[in-house]
Amino acid sequence: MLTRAVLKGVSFSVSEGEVIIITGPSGSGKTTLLTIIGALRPFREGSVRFQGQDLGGMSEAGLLDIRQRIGFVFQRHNLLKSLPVIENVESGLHLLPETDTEMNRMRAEAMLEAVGLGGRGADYPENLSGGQQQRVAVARALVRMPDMIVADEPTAALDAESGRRVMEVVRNVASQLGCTVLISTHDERIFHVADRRLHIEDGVLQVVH
Amino acid sequence: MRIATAFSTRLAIRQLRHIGLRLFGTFSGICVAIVLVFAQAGFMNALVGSALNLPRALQADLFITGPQFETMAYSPPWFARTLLDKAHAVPGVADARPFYAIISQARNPDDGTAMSARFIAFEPNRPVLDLPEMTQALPLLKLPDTALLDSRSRRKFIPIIESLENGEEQRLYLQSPAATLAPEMRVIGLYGLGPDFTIDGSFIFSDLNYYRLFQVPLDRLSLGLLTIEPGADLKSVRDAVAAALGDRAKVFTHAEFVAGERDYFIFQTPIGIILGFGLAVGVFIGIVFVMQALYSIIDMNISEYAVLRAMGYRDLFFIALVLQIALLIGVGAFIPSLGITSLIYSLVGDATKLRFTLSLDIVGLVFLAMIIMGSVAVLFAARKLRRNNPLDLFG
Repeated sequence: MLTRAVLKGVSFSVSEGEVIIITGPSGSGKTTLLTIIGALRPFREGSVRFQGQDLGGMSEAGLLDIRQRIGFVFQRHNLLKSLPVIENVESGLHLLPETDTEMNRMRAEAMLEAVGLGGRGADYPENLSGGQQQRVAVARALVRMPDMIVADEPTAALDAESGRRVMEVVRNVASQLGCTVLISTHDERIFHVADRRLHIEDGVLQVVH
Repeated sequence: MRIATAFSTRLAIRQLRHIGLRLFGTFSGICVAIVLVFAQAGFMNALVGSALNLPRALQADLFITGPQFETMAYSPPWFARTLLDKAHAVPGVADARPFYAIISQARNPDDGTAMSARFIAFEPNRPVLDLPEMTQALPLLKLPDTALLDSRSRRKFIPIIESLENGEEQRLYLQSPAATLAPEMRVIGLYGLGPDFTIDGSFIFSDLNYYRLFQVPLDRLSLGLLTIEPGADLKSVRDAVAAALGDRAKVFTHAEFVAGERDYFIFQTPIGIILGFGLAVGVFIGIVFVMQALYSIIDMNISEYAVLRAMGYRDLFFIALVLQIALLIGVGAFIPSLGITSLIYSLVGDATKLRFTLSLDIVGLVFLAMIIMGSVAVLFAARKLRRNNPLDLFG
């Protein structure tokens, strides 16, 4: 396999509950960074420590285990069209060791409540607005009470108001759960939710503030 | 390691329900494939089964044939009657009856054309078939030149059957290889056995009439039919008879004889190959359609599956998912196909006078074919599933 150094000397640490925004032009290595931290992409050099565990040189099975503790939110909501909203949220729970039909339902309902969609559980995703769909996706990521949320352009497909609400939800629920949030975005309107912003250009990290 | 089986089942059902009527075309295709497999299996069973009518009906525990014997489908080569007497003397053999069969032609009374038929004969005092109508007519069979016609004979025999049913005796000329003038037989009644698919009709004679009409010496047997004494061991009597006759005859149990006839038609004639090919085509069509159904469901959900994969769902989950979708489609298509098949069977059965039965064997075989369709389709779909990569979800 060909290897290419996309990230050069990128080094930072994030503490529990912190909300970080990562910005940078396309091709800057932002997505690569996100997918490596999200335990989705194996890498050759350097090290990523997630709660004391080094992801470098980890087997696919090991990465899968790490991913149990990470929630993902993408640009598109990617909800299963054939499942009602509540079951989409529950899909985040079936693999957890504590999975249990009744408990899953309660957790999913509580999480829908938390993202402002209480009572919409029986609806199908296609009957929801774009912002609501994205909030369901956030609920699906958060319902497993992950240690970290990785969000890639979560507001890119949304209008300003919906995007703002989605980010509020992420911010509030994440802080309640003490969950670290990593967001890659171009959307300046949501910069304010972050504790810190990291800017990447040509694979080199520039701390903004 | 969790694979969330219950969730995969629920998702399989939901996704099928969600896609609903859009799957109708594909679903119909799968039904066609299953019905095609049913048709092939049914034809195979009916054709081969029809050829087994006579061997199955013969009342015997052991069969003796000439050493060159291959099948009842043609006139069997004769062997000497002394061998039957020898077999009778073997301990454990209760009775030994001669049986004669020849394939020849009767002349159509309407237009003089030849009608191929099988002519079978035995001693009327020692009948080898147990058919009620025949048993009743046995005394009449002892009269000169009399014969019974199979009431389920086809085509040119049908007018003759009809006039016999009206109580009119029919006189038919025979093509007899040895006679200068075509001998005439009197058909005096009917019996019901069923024709095989190669020959449209069959007649029963007494052994003496058989000799009279065909001039085949009665010490030349087509088959020897043995019954064994109650309590005797079938296999050891067979071996004892075989040892007594040496290489001048072959000895089979009833089951072996019937199986030999079946194998002849399946492996020695093109029937097995033709129907086997049809069966394979049916299975192939099924695979293509099941695959198409799986592909359209996977295509609709590929990025959703990628999210599940990002969350830690493994290959096994997705394989379980498509396997269940394939099974649900398969079983769903199987049920209406069964209905269509039973309709087709009864129509074709009426038209051919062959026996089309939706036996458990056939249903099982076709169900197995359906499982093969689904599994092969899943193998292909699994390759496509590998392409759901969470990395593609990042902008």
